[in-house]
Amino acid sequence: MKMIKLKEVTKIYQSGSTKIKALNNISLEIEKGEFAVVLGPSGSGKSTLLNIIGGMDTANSGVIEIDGVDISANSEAEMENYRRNMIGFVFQFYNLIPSLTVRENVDIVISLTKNHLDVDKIIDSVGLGDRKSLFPFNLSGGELQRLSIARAVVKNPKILLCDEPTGALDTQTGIKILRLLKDTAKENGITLMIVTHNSNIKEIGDKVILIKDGEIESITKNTYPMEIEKVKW
Amino acid sequence: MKHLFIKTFRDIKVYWSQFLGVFFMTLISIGIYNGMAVIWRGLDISVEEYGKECNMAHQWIYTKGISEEDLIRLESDVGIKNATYSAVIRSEIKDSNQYLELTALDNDKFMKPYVLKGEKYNPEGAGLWLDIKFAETNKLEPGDKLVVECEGIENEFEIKGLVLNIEKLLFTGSNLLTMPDHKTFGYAFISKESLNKLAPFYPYTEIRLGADSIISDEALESVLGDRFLFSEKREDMIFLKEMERESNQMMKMSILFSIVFILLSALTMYSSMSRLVSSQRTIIGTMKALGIHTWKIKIHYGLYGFFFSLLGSTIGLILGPVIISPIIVTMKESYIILPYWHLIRHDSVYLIILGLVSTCIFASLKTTGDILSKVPAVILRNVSNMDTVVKTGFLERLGCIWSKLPNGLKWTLRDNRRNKVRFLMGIVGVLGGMTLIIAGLGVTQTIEYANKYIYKEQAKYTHISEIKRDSQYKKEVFEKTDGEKEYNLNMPGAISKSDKEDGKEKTGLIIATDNNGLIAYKDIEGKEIVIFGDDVIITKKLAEQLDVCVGDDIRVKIKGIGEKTLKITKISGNLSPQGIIMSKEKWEKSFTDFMPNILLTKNVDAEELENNSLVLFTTTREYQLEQADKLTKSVESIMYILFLGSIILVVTIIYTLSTLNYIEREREYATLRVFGFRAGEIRGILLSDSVLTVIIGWIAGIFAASKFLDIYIKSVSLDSLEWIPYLENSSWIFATIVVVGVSLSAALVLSLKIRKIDLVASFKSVE
Repeated sequence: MKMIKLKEVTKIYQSGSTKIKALNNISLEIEKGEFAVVLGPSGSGKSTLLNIIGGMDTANSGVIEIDGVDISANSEAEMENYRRNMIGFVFQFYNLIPSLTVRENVDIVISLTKNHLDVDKIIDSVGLGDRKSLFPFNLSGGELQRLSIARAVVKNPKILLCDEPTGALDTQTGIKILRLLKDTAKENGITLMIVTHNSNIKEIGDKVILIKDGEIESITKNTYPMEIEKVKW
Repeated sequence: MKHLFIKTFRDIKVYWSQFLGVFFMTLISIGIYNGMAVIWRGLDISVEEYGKECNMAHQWIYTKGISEEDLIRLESDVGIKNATYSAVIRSEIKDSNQYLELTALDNDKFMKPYVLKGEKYNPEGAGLWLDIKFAETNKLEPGDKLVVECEGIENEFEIKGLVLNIEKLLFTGSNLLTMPDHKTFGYAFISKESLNKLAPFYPYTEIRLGADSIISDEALESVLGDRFLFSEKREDMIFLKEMERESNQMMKMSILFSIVFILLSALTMYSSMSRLVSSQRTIIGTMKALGIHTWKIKIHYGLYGFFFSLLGSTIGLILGPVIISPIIVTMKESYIILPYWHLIRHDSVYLIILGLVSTCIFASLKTTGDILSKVPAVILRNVSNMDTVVKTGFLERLGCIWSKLPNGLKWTLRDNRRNKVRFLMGIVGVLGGMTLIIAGLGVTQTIEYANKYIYKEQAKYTHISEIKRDSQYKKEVFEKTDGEKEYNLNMPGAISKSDKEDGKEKTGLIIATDNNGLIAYKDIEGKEIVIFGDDVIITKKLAEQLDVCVGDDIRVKIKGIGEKTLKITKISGNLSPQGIIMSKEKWEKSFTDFMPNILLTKNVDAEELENNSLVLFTTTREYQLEQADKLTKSVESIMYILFLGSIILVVTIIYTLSTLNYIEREREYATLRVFGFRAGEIRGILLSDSVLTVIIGWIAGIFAASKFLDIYIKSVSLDSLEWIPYLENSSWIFATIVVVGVSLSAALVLSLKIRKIDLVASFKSVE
């Protein structure tokens, strides 16, 4: 069953008189519960793709079907509801609220949905059970990203979008985060989409979408994805 | 460096709107300060210049009359060679209720009328040089003729010229009036020969001397005997002291208000500069990474603050005297009579500009310095604020309360703890706004309240008359007139604490009364005081100034009458006049015969009273109140300007601080939006932050405003009356509506931006 289906999606940014085609006729499909890795160099359009799927940005043309619903013509309010109920986001630089503790950072988003998961269980599951009352500044980079994942997952989203989630982390921590993302998504039946420029990560995804200059260069399916712990970069 | 200068000017072109707050704050602060400073400085200089042009005397000698023999002895025994002798009589214009004070001079060496129209003044010439204000109001011109009457003798004078007299800077015509009544009262200069026609054998009574021939009272007494009343030096002359007081009052008003204005402006500038420099973090990081010296980067950003604050200050410096000064001067000229009022800049304004510009530069340098203290990689990484240290606050330690608070509020409270300076700035902004508005409204309401209290609570008479003092106590003359009557003797005097030789001496009114209840004297608790026997009552403000209380001895000195030590028996809370009140019996026992100069009446036939030959002038209590209110208007004009400035300031500062707050949190709001928080929900968080600042600022503002009003009233009030800070409840509500309304409106306007947050752009710097 298709969770994400994009058909001929185009996104053009205009800067003064210059038009930049960030996405050019992109079409792709991601199954429910699938782990997709979007790979591409800087400026290839991978973040734009993530933003459009996440309802943070809109396309100029094309169809964006999420769980069978076309969101390309959504109003702003509908987009808010979409992000609220369907999407979990993990950022490269975490974007946590520094004035809230670990628990509060997760707790603040549970008001968004009735279908949310248990805050403490999620925090325990990301390995921060003994750090709930600490503030972000007390945490290491890996812990910050764990917290970011917990915050994204607690809403019980259908899609978890991760923008360079290991970009600011060392190899060992990065591997742990990837493991956590994969396990958490699997455990909760979440479709996982990771955007990265790190080609070493491609081996671990169920599906690898290669983007270059706003166009899809290839979509490959890994029948036997690599064990995350074997990834090196 | 050249390229940094080019960048500065290009940046200024791009970011000019962000600097509008700084520009307007400096413009308003300097505009208001300079607009008021040029007036008080100009008043000082104008009076000095006017004095020189009028050959103003350095010593005034008052006598009961100077004979021919005295003139010879004054020259031979005391050495008076250069002097101006004068005689002053009060006259009426025939068949009108208009009065002219006529002054005859033997020369104009130390008193020269300032001629504005007509012939040059000639002390020996025929005709009359008339007060220009009286002439203008009554449409009289040089060449017109006036029939003047004095004690039944009439004489016709041709108006030779229209003049002003420096000694009549605050001329009202009667002690009963606080504002000039140019329709009824005027003055004129005539020759001694002309005066003799109206008042035959009337002697010279006053002598004016120059700076080089000041004579002691002892020497004058040795020649004139008991005909000598008293002498006064230039520094003691009431009209000059009043000008000094006016100038001081305006100076205090402008300085006190400016302090608050400037502090708030500095705050706004600090916020604006911090905001702008923070927004250039990546550029600063890049410049540092490229190897540009930190001092060069600091100079570059320091120039932002320098340019806009200097521009605002310069325009304020120019516009203040053009816009603000004329409004105030016009009001002041309704009772200060000058031929010109120069507007002269006071050097203090440059110091204030220096302070404001320095604050701006400091804010820019501080913010830039904070960023530059990090290594370029950290500056450029701009990892939002995950490294921000948050400490647990007091409230947080009360776990049971804290755990019940919503996360949004916890976030706000912790953010405020973390950004103490920004939070404090917000509070000070609201507090400052409340203070300025309350002070602006409070001063006018306090004066209006005092006027009402004096003329409605204290004064129980319907009419008040000046009566001739140069005769015995003429009670029987008025007996035919029906109605209630009270006779008062009002004399200015100097009062001091008797056991302190070097103690303060204050000028006040010495009132002796037969106390028939037409003026209500109340104690400090508001209970009525009955004056009898040996009662000596001192008014509260004067008692505080002299630091005396019931049972203390005070020294009372009345020029021309004598000096006496009196024991205080009661303290009165009456607001005006400030001085000493005693029974007529006590007066007679302590000083001399009771010869009243004021008659208070109630339910009398006003016409009969006016026709009484002993009555010089009669007015009503209502007219006195009307005049006092007119005088209040001159203060109000200044207060309205300050009030308007306050509102602009409040709007700017609160909007700037709210914007700063919003910008600092924009990424966090964007994150929440990405997670699906609706704009309304985030708006609630933003508003709760503003509400917290506004509530704390408002509560602190109530206390600060009350205290500031108290200090302000004390510093601008006059010695002659007590102003008790008074503010109607509606003003508190109004100030609250303005400040809270502006604060919440700013938050609302900013919250509208939440819907427009570009979610992609908000995270761009991160990536």
